Amino acid sequence: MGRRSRAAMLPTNIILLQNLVKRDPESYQEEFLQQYAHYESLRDIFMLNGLAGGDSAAATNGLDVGNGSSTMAGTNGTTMSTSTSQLIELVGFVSQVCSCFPRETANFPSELKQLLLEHHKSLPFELKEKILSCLTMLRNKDVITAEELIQSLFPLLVAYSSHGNSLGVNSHAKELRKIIYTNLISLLKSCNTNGKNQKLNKSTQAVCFNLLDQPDSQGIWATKLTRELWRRGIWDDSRTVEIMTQAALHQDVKIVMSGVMFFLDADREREENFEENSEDEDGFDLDALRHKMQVNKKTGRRGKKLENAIKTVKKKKKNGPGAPQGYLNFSAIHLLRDPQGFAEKLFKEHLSGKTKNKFDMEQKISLMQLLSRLIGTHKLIVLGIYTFFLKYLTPKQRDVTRIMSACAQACHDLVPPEVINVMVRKIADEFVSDGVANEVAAAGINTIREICSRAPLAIDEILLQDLVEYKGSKAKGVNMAAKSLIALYRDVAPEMLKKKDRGKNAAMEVQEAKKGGKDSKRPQFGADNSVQGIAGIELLAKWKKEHGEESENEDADANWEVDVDSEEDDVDGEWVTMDSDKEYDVDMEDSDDEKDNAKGKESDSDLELSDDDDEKEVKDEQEDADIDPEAAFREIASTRILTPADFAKLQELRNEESVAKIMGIHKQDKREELVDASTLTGPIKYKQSREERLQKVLEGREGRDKFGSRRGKRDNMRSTTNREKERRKNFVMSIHKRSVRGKQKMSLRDKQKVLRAHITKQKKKGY
Amino acid sequence: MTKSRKQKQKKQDFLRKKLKVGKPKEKARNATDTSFVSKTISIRNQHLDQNPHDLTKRLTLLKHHNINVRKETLTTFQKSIPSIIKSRLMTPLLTQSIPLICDESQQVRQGLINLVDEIGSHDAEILKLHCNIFVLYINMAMTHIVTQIQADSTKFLSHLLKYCGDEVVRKSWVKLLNGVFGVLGWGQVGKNDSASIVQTKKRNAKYVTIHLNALYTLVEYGCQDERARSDGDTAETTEDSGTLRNPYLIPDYPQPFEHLKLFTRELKVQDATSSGVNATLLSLATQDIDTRKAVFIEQFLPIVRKKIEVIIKEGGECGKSANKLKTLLAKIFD
Repeated sequence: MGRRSRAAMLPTNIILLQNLVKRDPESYQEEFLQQYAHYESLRDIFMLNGLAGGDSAAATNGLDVGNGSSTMAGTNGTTMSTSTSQLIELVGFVSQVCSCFPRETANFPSELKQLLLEHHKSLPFELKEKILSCLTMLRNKDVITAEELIQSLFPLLVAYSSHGNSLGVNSHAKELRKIIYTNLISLLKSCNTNGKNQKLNKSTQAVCFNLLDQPDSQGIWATKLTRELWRRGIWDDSRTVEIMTQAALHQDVKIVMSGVMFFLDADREREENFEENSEDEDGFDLDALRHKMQVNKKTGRRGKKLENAIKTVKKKKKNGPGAPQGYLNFSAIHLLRDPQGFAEKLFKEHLSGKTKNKFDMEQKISLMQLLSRLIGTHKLIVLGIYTFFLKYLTPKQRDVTRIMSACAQACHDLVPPEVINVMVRKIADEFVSDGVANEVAAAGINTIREICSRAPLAIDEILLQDLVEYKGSKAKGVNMAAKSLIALYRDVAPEMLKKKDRGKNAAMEVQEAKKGGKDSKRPQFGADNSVQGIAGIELLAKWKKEHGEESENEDADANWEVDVDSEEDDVDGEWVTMDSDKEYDVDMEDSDDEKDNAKGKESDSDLELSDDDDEKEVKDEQEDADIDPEAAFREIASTRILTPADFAKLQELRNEESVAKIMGIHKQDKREELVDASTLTGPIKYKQSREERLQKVLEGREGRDKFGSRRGKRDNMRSTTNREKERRKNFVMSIHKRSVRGKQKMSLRDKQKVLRAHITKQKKKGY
Repeated sequence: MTKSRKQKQKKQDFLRKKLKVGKPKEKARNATDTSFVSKTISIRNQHLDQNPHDLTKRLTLLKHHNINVRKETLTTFQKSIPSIIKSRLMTPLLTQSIPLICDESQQVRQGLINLVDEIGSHDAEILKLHCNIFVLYINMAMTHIVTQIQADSTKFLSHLLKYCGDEVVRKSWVKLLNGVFGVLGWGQVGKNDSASIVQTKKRNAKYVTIHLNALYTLVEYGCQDERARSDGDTAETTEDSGTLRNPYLIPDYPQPFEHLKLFTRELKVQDATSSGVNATLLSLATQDIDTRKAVFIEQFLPIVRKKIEVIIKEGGECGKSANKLKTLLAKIFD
């Protein structure tokens, strides 16, 4: 019996042996050694034959010259299939079990690496693929370190992306690159799952830096890898961003563009990646909700929607299931080490230097977008860019709206107004006149508005008043644009507008200021506008005001009184501080959206009138969020000590606020916000063509099978029936018939009879 | 206004033919019809039996999937060896037939042995030229997972030794000894024998005899100089070979410095010490008898003696050849 079971255990193929060896390495050591020797001799044969395959092939070829190459290919193919497939099998076997025999197979990994790195040109594709997967497996079994694997993967990746190798006969360069690339990604991912493997990351990043140091186009792999890892949130530090900075300043156009696109898109990509992961679970569409909230009436259903939005916020707070541990949610632009230097170099080398012609328009626009975003986010000073924009600011320029949005993005309040003024004037001259199309004028005014909302001093009074005249335009887009400009300046610097444009509220403020003999409230260049206090404290103050009596029961009366007072105090205190240390530039940046305020504005100001003459209130679209953070901070901080419970409440309130933000109610910081090129032209409505109209009509008819027309839907072809003919017969012809005329002369009784008969007949027919 | 028939005909020549949609263009009156009907189409350069005596065509058949075809091809070549032995065909023939050592069919392997015999009997030099690759494949067969192929490997070895024994032992002494030991199941590293060997050893003593004979020949060629060998075999006096070799003369065998591995492609070994004694031995050059003897005594002799005793006790065919080996060993090493 024992013998029989032994016979059953006799390994007759490699897979079976592999199974046995894995179960009981010691007993099958002899077997393994035999197979290892087999592998060695196969390898030697392969080194002798397979690598020098060209020589032996040439020898045979010399013999059968007349025979043609068909036999040659045949012989080669069969050698591949026999000895190579055996070698592939054995390589797989040894790497599977070599962790059981570390002493005997000490050399095995390095042999594989050498085969791959030194002879990759002559190896068949299948073997290369196998060796790659085996090396990965060895890494997973901790036979070789991740660094070693990366060191053997990267040279291959580089080798197969150059043209010399990829043109080889059966190099399968594309597939190999794909395999290597996915291997690299998965390796880095698995190494970074439980906490970051900083050592590996650093060494890989060093390899990337080295790749980018060379002038050739190999660096594209570094950028590709970095971008992918950034998207997955595996790399998220400033070193990663530094790699991409280097790429963006490279000589090669492709690499530069990948670097630039990284800064423009990578963060959005990353967010989408994580959002996708979280959205998969409940199918919650945030965009749709946001849209609904904008369009629909704000009713009682809002609570339900809020709850939904809260869920997503919570998910985001948890970083979602897709986000790896310790994931930092900084955008790439924020992680830059030297934004000013980067922006300057980018501008000097790619946009204004001698090499500027190597980029085409599309790429230049991307560069402009990146530069302007950098400038806007970090408030950098790159003065050359504003005159650079001038060249492109003509209505006939392709993609001019994108350039204009870049223009607007590049402005901020630390740039000298004279510099921007040139640009604004150019836009006004080129775009805004009676002779241009509506969209062009609208785009011009909208761009100027965007610029002015960032740098209010960029426009002079006369030009502004000229532009404002377009509020009477018949074209809706131009009209809206001009009105939004008015709305902006009512808020920022009403003195610059004509008296009639200032609006009730602003006009009163100006009057008040004149009466008081105070200096004008016009914004000044270089004024300080730093923020102090605790973020979100105004929410707490407001909440306290509303819920003070029921939530705090230990000194409810006192609280109540303080709160009541504070409403008045608030306003007064505000007044004083405003004048002493110019705080209002912050508020200006928070200026409201022009789109939906044309009407809402008036109601806003009415409400405020009833409050007080509170001129410097933050005007949000929500009328109730009107407590100044700074004042609230002073108010709360001076009256009481914030307890942990307060902070918890604060956090909760901020949470709510972020919910609102998601729903598009609040606006973010202006400086970070992107100018959307597509909105610059305003709403355009072209007249529909006949085809479009017809299509719409047909769309409406779909799915009305019972009620729709039955014309053209006959089951089978036939001629018209007598009844149909009768029905279609010309009215004038049939009116004179006796049978028809006789109907009028019928007696009432006969009429009744006929009607009855008709009804019964219809009923019999089933109508 | 009726025109005459002749006039009408004349006019017709100059009328323009109207083209019509969906109808093929009318052919010109003088167009030539080139179509033809035939039962078969024959293309000359696709004929299979252009030159039935061209043996190069048959080389590919050595890799045919059908066992019979392979076997037949081997016999064809074997028959035509006398005519092609001096031709250029021999190199491709050998390079393509040697891999058949690992063929799964017993008949094909036997056919190959016959072929090798035929070649060797005509011109042993050709085998010598290819003995490197021969040894590689024999080695591979010795470690093959299929037992039958493994068992047959020593047959090839003994046939190869018959024709180019010197060459073989000089180049790959340790390697082959290792291989034969493996086939015999005399493990050097592990304590227990491998399972497959235990099975075969009990079942067919016939194979063990062949293995032992191969080992005998190997040792004979490796550790005994030519004179002693010829003394043993024939009564011929070989004075020429008996003269002392001057090491400073040009050696009489090809590629004397091959063992230095100056121009061979090889994978580097990172740390030779870690992979044990065997690896160092494998890299050792065994050019002369003394080295081979030393290696044999150091590594293999104790195991051989121990195992041989067991086999002799079992007796039979195996015992006989084992006894033969024992006497040889005694003659050489004592």
